[in-house]
Amino acid sequence: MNLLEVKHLTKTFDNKKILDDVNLVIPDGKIIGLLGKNGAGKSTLIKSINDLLTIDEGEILFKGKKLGVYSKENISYLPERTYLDKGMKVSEVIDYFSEFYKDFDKERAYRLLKDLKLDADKRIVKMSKGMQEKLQLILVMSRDADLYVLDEPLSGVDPATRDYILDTILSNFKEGASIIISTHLITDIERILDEVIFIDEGKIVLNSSADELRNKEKSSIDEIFRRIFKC
Amino acid sequence: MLSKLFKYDFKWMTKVTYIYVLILIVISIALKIVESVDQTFLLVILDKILVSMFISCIVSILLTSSIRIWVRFINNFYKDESYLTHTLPVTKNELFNSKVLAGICSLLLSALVIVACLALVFINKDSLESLKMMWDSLVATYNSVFAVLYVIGLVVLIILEIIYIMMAGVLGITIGHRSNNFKMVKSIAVGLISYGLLSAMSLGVIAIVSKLINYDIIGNGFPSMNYLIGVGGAGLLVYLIYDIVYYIIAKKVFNKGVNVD
Repeated sequence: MNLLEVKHLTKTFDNKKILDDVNLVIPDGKIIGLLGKNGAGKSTLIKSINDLLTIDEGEILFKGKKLGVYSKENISYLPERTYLDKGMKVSEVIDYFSEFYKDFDKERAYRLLKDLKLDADKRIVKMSKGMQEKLQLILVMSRDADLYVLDEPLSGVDPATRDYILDTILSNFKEGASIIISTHLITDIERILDEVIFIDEGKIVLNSSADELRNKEKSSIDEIFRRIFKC
Repeated sequence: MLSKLFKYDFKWMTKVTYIYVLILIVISIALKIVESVDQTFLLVILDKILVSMFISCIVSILLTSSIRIWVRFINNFYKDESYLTHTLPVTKNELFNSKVLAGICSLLLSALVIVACLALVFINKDSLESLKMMWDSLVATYNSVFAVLYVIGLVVLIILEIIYIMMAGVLGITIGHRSNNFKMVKSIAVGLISYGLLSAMSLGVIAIVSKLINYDIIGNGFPSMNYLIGVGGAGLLVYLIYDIVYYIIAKKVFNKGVNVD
């Protein structure tokens, strides 16, 4: 059974189709890059997978079941926004995650906090946006989920920190789980991708194995992306 | 999961109210002390200042409690925090019910504190005597069972009215946030219309019931028992129906799904 199936997904905003008949299958144990220009529909697709939008047509199935409590128990989602209650302390947020997610590993979270030099007693309101993003990454990667959905985890971060974030992701996700990473910073993540999905104007324009694509086109994913989406 | 959600919702909703409650308690005690000693010119001025502060504090508690419930709904369901709320492994019903329950409890707690502070300030030997006289008249006119039911009915009616105000806001927020544009404007408009329209309707219903039942004056200038039962019952029923209907509609709209920004 596939981990995630998106069937004929269509989403319209103000009479404009943001997603247009999207079909997608996410298997187990793969790192998938969801690549597209700004406004291509990446975030809308990811929000739909996480039940944050109503869909006009089609359906999304997680392990054969419609989105709901089961999918949320098994999908760990990192949005592009900072979503934490600003009045809480870091330790309180960790307790919150631990209370709601059965697969949350508190020890791992505290270890990662130490690694990333974040203070557990600090209030979120007193943290910079970058620190809040790091904290959210820690929370998401401290779960033993079957699918990690990371929306633009590298945007607004300097190149050195990008490598650190990628290493954190790679060294903490559950074995056998899949990761969907949405980004337009392809060079940074190209080395870790098993599969790539190109999305443009709400449509999937390419869905392929990363190695096969590189061999076939004799160029890097970044170059292929630039060629396809040349303005 | 509902209890876990409730814990966080209630804590958030009552967070700022605590400050006003503490101030109100301090003012109430100060007022009680000032009013219990012989009044000099300065103490009279202080008394007036404390009374103004007391009233402002009560208004602040009522406003803060209501506004924080609605803000919690908006922030948690439709703003940045919604990215976490809607990805928690809980049902939509649990999310919605937790906030409604926490809202009701926070409003009732605020009301209870206000009543306690009012009692602390204004209950003295004279006012107790007046209350006792009123109670005796009620019991003499009707009977002790009816008098108790009458007071309980009044309290329940006030609680239903408080819930109704909260639910009108919640209904406005859930319907207003279904659209893609002008969400806040639509939320406020729907909330105000749903509150105003049904308030007018309830007055109409009570007026009709009053017409149907004769307003007979019995002993001590009180209306007849039938009249009180009819009008009071109609009021209770109308607000109960409103609360339930608003709750059902708002929950149905919410369960259809959200479109976070």
